[in-house]
Amino acid sequence: MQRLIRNVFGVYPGEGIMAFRFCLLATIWALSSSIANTLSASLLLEKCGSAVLPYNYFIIAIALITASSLFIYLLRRISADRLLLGVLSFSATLLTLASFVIFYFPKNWIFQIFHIFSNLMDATLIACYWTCLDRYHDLQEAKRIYGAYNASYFFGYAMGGVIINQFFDKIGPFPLFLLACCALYYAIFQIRLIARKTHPIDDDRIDEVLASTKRTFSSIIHAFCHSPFAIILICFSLFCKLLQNTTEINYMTTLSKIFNPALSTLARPITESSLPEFLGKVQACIAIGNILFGMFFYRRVVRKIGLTNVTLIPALVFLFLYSEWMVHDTLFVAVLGLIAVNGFLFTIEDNNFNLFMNAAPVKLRGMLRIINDSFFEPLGMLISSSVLILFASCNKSFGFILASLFIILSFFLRKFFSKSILISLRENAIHFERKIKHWLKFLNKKEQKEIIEDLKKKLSDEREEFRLLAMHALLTVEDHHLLETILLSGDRLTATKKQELIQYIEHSFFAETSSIIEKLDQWLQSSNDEDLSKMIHLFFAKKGLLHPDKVMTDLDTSDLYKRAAAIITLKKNLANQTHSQAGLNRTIAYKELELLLKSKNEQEICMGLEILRESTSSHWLDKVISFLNHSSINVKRDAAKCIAKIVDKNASRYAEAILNALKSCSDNEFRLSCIKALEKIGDSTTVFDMIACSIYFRPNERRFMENAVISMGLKTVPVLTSIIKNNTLHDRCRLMAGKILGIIAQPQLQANLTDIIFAEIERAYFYFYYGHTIQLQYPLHDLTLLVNTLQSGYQSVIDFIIYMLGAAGSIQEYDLLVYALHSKNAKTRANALETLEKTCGSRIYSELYPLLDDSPWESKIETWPHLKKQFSHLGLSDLLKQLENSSSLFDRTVSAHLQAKLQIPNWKESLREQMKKNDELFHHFAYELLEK
Amino acid sequence: MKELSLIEKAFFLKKTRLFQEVELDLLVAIADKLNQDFYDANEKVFDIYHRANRMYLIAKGTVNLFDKDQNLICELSTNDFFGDEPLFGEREHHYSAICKNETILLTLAKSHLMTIISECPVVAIALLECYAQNFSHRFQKKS
Repeated sequence: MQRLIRNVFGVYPGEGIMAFRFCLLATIWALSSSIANTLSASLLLEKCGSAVLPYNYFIIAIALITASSLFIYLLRRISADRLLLGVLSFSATLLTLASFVIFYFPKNWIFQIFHIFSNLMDATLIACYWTCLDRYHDLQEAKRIYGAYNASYFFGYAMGGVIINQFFDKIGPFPLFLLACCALYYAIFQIRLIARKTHPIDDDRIDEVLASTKRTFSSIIHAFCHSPFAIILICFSLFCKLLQNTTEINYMTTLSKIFNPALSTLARPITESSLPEFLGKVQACIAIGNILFGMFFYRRVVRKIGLTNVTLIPALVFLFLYSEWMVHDTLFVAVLGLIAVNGFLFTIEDNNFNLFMNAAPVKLRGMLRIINDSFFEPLGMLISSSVLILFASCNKSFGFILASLFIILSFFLRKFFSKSILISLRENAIHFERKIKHWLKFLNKKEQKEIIEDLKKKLSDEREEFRLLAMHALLTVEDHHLLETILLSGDRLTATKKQELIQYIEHSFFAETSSIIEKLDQWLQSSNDEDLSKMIHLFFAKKGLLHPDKVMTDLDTSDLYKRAAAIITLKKNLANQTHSQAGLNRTIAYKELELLLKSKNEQEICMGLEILRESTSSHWLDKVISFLNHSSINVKRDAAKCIAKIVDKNASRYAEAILNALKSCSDNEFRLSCIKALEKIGDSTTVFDMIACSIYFRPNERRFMENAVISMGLKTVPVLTSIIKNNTLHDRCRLMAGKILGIIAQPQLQANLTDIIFAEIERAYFYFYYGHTIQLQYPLHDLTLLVNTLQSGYQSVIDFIIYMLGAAGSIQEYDLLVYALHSKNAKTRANALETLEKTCGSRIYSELYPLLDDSPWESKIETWPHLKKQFSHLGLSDLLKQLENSSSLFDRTVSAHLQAKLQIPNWKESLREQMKKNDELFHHFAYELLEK
Repeated sequence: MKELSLIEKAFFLKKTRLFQEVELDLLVAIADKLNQDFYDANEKVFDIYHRANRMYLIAKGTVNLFDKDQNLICELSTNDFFGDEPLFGEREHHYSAICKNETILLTLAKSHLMTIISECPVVAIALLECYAQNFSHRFQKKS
């Protein structure tokens, strides 16, 4: 029964109580609001007449605009549920007071004030209630449940009408007012209960409206002006209001013509009550339709055709309506107008608006609703009433123009909705891959200038370390105009920091610049620091600025820097030498270099490798490769750097050795240099091994590896495709291959996507099914470890699927999408799902949705009956056997462990068999089990 | 008070214990995600038992932390950070934070902190060092 109710209302386990409380809250305050509104309007008309209505509407509009400013201010300080609580408390107090005042002092101006107050109460409660809902729901939940909340609101409103209808004549207005007050007091109790029992979903964004961070009005206005989606959404809502008022006037005009008592005949008698009776019947039918549609159908329609398509429905209905109305002024068209306003606008459009609100920039979310409900809607009312008064004869043409513009706006809204969601996701990503130079690219000229000025200011920071950092950053900007400033600041550095600066300069864009040579020469002349002088000396040697004759004696010195400078000079310099002299110098240099490389001293080897980095020939590669397996990490790093510098496309025979070294060392710097070397070799036959060894790489190493393979180009496509399809490989490798393929050959990835995804769904189902059922099948065994393994396996497959879809989709920021789908924040996850829906095909998405959705596991299992049939026959030992062949080492070790623990027959033989196929890590584990 | 620029924020991070080992390029990326808040003297940053979803770095000023009985736990000043502990356990703040004087705080969202930790293990190590200090202190108290 519970399941049936959940299915009908679209509520998942655990959400029921929260959804019920919010529905109850909506019903209660809507009941109160309906009673107060209806009674205040009827009392006003009875006591003061309709002449005061325009004045009241004017005051209401002004008051709402003021209230919106107040609410925006309050939302910066308090949460949305507290705001709703405040509004409810204020309304309840005033309503109670008003009830007594009206009863004891029935003056005309009191009725007027009461009418204004009840209208204000209704509008502000709507705005605050929905703002509060946004705090507790993400987009995907909203798609399922908001329809029910809307229906609850209509239900409460209808109940209010029914109560007035049934009891007004018998008990009069005072008890009804008291009932409305009681309803509001109960609503206060409900919202307090909700705030206490339910956890809100805060946005991760630090400037989330509900997270009590501080913001200025200017930043809100700035955010609004820079969000096309927010602007279009508000315009859309404004047009809804314009259309609503215009259509109301039009159908009332038509109906009053049709139900004119003067046209009464015997066959068709028309009295003064005919129109209200007819209207009452139609409104009642529409209200029932609204409740049913909101409760049961809205979410299904959204799920089936998508939110962006649903938004076209009201626009098309209005366009059809006015196309008809321009030609025929009939009862059918008038009723259609009534349905369009009270049905389509109040259910579909209101619900759509509530969902679209989730895509608004985080800074504006919450406030946008208040701004809309309390400012733009009254403004719409004001504009439409002015136009309708001024051009009373062209109301239908005005409606047609509005309907046409409305449909154009709907298309714009569709377009910007997906973009806006992606922008929200993008705002959450940290761009570690960007260097300062890249940051400048994303900024406008003014901001670029500001950043450079800030860096310049840091050149005079009191901390030397910071000055050096600023110099390094400015060097990476690669602007010649900045070099002079950097070098001038360099004067104020100590000798040690000057050495660091020289290293930065050496690897910078300015390494060959004459002003640098001049400055270094100046430092050389003025400095007494020996280490600095040696470094500058070596720098000059590397740039070919020393004369061979002058450094010859340095070859015999014990100073390593001087020896290195001499070797480099002899090797490189051609100044005033005969060919035979140059040849002799080189022979000497090579011999000296060999001596350095053969040395037992680590520093000498490192210096030898540094000298080789200056070489452009791959002649020394044989020698240098051997240092990749040296016992010292410093030598290994320098060797890798050297290889990365001198290697070229002809060195593919060394790729295997580099790959082996890459696998054997976990040092970050070493790995990056090795990857760089492999990138320069560019041998596509190494791609498989490159990707296969990246399983345990760090994030920056993986990024480096991806770029290396990407640089190899389209020749890697076949091997990448085979990696993606090979499910015996670790998922992380396949992910990397997919990501790269998505960049270099997206059509190829898309062509294979369906097969890959469907195979993965099957794999995910396997993990999911047993992750949830195996313990139930074997209650006497403690299978917690196995269950955890299966569930993490499931998550890993899901990751893979998401990555593939992101990579194959047209989203450039698919990394972001994957990150967002993994976010612990439900709102971020929901937005990512929405983006995914827009990018992958409907067939794949509908297959995948049950896996990504937060629905209960029992219903997920039932989603694919053929898979259930396929997998449900496995027992525990069969399952463990299956895990033996998994691509994940974790699965294999857990399988071996449990087989041993549960004494599965022949587990030892099975383990020995496995050892033949597995790597060293598994062997250690297997030996431990066998020895036990 | 003026909003700190991206570079100023990055250099500020470099001064903090948590990020001092991180490269400038990465710091700029992190700085991009920092939000700046201005607080008056005696203004509350958060209350005890409030759900935590961000950590706070003091760019300028002094912040006092109080326990549930309003006893001063400690006084933090520029370059210190607070509010990070509950982020690792979906927990609430176990102290309240009140600015002693005019203060500028830079805040970092929980999800961003998690991403930074996975990208820069040095940040995780810095955090562990801070926690280890507190842990040994607590251990001494108990024994």
